[in-house]
Amino acid sequence: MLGKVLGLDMKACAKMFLPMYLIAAVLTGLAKLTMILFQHNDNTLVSLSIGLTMVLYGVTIFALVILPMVFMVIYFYRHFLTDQGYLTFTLPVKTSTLVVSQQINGIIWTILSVVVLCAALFGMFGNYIIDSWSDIKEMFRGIFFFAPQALAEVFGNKVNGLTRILVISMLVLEVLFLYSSLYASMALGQLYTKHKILGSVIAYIAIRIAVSILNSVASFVLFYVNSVNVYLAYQVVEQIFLGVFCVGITIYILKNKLNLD
Amino acid sequence: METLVNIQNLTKKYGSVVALDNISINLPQGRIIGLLGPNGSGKTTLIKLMNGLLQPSSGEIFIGGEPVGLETKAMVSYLPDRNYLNNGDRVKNVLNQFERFYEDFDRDKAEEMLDSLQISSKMKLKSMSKGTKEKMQLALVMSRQAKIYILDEPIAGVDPAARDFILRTIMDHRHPGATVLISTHLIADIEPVLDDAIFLQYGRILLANTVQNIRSEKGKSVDEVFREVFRC
Repeated sequence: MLGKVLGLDMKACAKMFLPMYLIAAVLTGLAKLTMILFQHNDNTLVSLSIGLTMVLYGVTIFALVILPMVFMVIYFYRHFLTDQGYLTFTLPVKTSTLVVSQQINGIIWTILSVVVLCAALFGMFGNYIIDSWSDIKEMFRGIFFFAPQALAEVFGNKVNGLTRILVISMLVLEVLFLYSSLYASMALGQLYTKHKILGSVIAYIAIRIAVSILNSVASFVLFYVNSVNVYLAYQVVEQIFLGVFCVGITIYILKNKLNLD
Repeated sequence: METLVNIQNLTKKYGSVVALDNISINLPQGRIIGLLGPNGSGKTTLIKLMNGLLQPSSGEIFIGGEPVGLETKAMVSYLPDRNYLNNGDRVKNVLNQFERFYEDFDRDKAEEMLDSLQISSKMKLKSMSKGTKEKMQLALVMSRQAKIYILDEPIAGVDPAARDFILRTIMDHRHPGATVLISTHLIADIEPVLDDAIFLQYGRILLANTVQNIRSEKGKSVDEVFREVFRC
């Protein structure tokens, strides 16, 4: 059943994401072409058109970072908490299946958006920073080496394989927690008879404040342990716990406290 | 008559407002039942509770012996009082969705009904009028071989010709032996098709009986009794 629900969710979200990817590809191509053709031209009109395409390209990059989250929030809200919820919640499907499908759906589209974002950046600036595939390999090595390295230095440790695995796990789990906390906030918000959206925003802020306090306390304590891997392992466990906790809250509320009035 | 729906001491409160006040009733199998009452009497609340879209403050509902949940959703074909389809979808996508999730969905029957309404499977819902969308939803709901059809205000806000179409569709396409629960305050239009009537007021059941008994006991039509009971 999860496959059926996920298929439906993926298809519905494709209507929002695929046009965005197409626009990103067209604008990246246009910006690149404008730069190649007119880079040595001092004409004012040409400079203006380069400026305009660059602004549009910048907006595209920004959109690829922000819109996946916005799209998923809109989809969850429409699919569960508006009139469409009357169909969603009368399908013979477990509430847990509906919620888990939303999680997987969000993670898949976010990963795809990161891939498109990287392609848009490489498409535009690739020739300035890389000459060959080996350079791309070096670049990824840099990303996965320097970030853990910088963190390890804070603790006065040396980076090792485990540190890198933990850093990557933490990044992936951050996406899980992002969506699970957003969905839990909306589930909590719908409990209000009026001002459901305001209720959702307040719930999200409250969750984030609680997590920040938890993180601050944990960081303070773990700093004295003096091990980057212990610190990262804690972060990974915390992300898993909070992600699962928020998914659990969402399922519980939508199953036992649904309020489609 | 065998009981299909068993409602026990059901209460629903919205804050301090009591929408349903400790109601208990059994709905028999294979009957066409009118859930009748003025606006705000608790009809839609009761229907939402039967579909699991709201949770009761207290009391229980059993459908086919099961508490409202996954099993009952497979038995109930529900028509809400609003458009629950995604306007961005095409008719074909909606048919696919119903076929995928409802084992009792008869696609051929749905396509036949949509053809008679001149609704092509390629049409987008956003290109349809409100009335056409309502008819399409009804066609989808009546194309299921359900144990019970719960129809919330199916004839509200439509012209007399459309009312005839809606009532004909319900009568001709319901699964044999299924119960049909129709909520409305337009009694005169549906009275000829009803077997039983339930009158709701302020979240309480005022009257629940067969249409035949109501007529013979009161010497009036159900519509006349309704007007008398709910006179402002």
